[in-house]
Amino acid sequence: MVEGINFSFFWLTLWIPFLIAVFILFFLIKFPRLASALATLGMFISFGLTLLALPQFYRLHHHHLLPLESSLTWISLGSIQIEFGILINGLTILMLLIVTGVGSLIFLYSMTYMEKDEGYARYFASLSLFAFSMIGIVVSNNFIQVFIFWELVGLSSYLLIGFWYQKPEASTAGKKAFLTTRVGDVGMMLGILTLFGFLLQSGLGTFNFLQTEQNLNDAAIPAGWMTLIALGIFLGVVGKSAQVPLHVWLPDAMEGPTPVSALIHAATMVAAGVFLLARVGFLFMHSPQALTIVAWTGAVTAFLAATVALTQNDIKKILAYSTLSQLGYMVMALGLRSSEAGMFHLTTHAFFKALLFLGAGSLIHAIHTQDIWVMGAASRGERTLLPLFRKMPITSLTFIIATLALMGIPPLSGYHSKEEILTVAHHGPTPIFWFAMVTVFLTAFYMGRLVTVVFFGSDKGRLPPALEHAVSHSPSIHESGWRMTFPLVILAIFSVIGGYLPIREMLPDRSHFEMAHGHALELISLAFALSGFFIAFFLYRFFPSGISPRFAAVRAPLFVLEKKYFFDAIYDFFIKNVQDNVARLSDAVERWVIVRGAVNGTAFFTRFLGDRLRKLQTGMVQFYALLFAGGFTLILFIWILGGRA
Amino acid sequence: MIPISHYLIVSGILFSIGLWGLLLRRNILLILLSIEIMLNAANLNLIAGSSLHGNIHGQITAFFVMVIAAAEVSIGLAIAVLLFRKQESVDTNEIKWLKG
Repeated sequence: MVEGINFSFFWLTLWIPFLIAVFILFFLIKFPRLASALATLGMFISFGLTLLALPQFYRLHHHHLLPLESSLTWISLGSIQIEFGILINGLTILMLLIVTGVGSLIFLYSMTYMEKDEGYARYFASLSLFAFSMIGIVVSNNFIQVFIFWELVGLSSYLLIGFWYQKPEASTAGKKAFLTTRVGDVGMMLGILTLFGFLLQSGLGTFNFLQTEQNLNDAAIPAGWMTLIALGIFLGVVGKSAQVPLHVWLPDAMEGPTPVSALIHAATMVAAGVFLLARVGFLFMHSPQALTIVAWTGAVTAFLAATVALTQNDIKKILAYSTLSQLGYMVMALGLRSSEAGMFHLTTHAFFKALLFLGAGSLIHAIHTQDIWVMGAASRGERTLLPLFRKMPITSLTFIIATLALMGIPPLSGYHSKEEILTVAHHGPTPIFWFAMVTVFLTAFYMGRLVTVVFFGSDKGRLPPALEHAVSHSPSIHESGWRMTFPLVILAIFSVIGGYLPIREMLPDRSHFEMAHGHALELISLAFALSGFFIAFFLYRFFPSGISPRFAAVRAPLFVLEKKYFFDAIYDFFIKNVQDNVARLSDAVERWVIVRGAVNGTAFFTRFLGDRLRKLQTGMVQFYALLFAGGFTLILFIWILGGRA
Repeated sequence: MIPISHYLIVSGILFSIGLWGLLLRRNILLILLSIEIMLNAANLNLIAGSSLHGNIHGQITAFFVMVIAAAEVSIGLAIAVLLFRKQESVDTNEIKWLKG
């Protein structure tokens, strides 16, 4: 007999970041160094606890004793129990390792990156709060709990995006992220409640994941409703994982500090949507239509975001669109019924995208710009080959490794996971497969452009005069401190070997594809990736001013891309013309009907009536006595009459 | 033996006189007197009932009523004195502080 798993590890993993966040907020705001050390330590402890539980997990997994649950009854409403609990299966453990592992590296990195910031302690409190919320989503064993932590993640994301709230762009971006994801969350809540309603009708009401999965077969929910439920929950995923059309908040979220972008907007939070899809995958198994929509949303997001990334000039924006595109891949894989491929890519993506963001952060930290052209030009004054490599060897090297991993070059981690997704897509509808393949090319192209411009740019880079000025004032560039380079190196190692980690073995096997890696597929995708990279390399190495001035034909499409397919413009238009009018109407209704009509009307009526009634109060005692005697007589009269009847 | 209805009629007449005075008199002393008349009408009723049923409950209650009437008169007279001091009149038409 195998003993159960020790749940106290997981309870601690969950609560330590929360307690630290509260402690910092109440006591350590004035002691930023202590706060940062404590928060980082807490994150490493959480990671360590997860690692400690790993052997137990593998033993149980081997004996097929998972999933296991530990839960407390939180709210009890008649027959409805809402729990607060922990659900342990492979998915939980994998996601916990990613969140706490990548999280602790980024905490460490932040200690240097944010060193000179005034809000140092506040930053670490928010980051710890985020870690708590994210771990909460991962361990949740029921819909209500997951929804609460889902919202908490939204809150901490808002706090961190708007961390530099003095900047209007940052606070606006925070609000935008919060509101956009809220649109999706409404759908998610409706989905959860509808599902619960149907289960309750069949006498099987529960919010628990495992019980829901079992009860779903007996509840006999009509197919149409099942699709609506699945799509409602998927809407929440679309918001949080920034899929088209709710993706607009993610690029703007890059206003936050770079480590935040790495942790939240690349490695963990945006992956929460993908994780949730995998967690409640059983719902989607009951609705093929919903799955089709999921797959298409993913494919379209992957493609659109990759095309927009081609034209961006801000290094973080490029990476943000790349993240969108990769999330699209994951969602697509889940839509094609392969949660393993999706979660596998989520894992490897967490490594190399966090690495890319941290590398970008290291560059920004050193060069003080986010524009790739300025970055490329900044180091080019000296007459050495590849100057940035000499000055920032670790950053440059790890950045290149991450780029290759993202492009899917063997044997790096991205190659394995992307290959798996492409295999899945190959078994799926043909248009989706071609979206995925073209995206491979586009990914290689925009990353090739980024790397070429920043690291391998030509000396004759022609910059607009305004940027020339910025370059000439850039300070001497040097490598960042160990607390920044150490996470880079670790993440680079995992970006390389990530593909060989036993990740697929951790997940319950839901997909029924025989994963025969067709060599033809591998070669084609590799050809796509390499051609994308080299076209970008030659184009931007030898035509550094870009291609648009040379070829008039590309101007129109480029304009569309630079405007990001007009999503923001359309939303602005919608908000100005529809939402504002609805708001004005509601305002008028509230002002005139509710306040003037109902509230003031009641008061007016009461006063009017009082004015009339007070005339009865003559103040003459005998009038009162008369009324009393008359009333009493009347009652007596009625009583006697009644008694006779 | 006088039938019970006679007592009741006398008592009713007394009570009506009292009520009449209470409602129509303006002098507060006369109003107090009217109240006394009404109380005594009630007492008459009680005693008549007592003798009809052949027990003493009604008589006991009548004693209580007398005691309470004495107390009431003493308080009522005190109020009348205070009223007189305040507005130099015992006319109820002058008492209109409660007018709404």
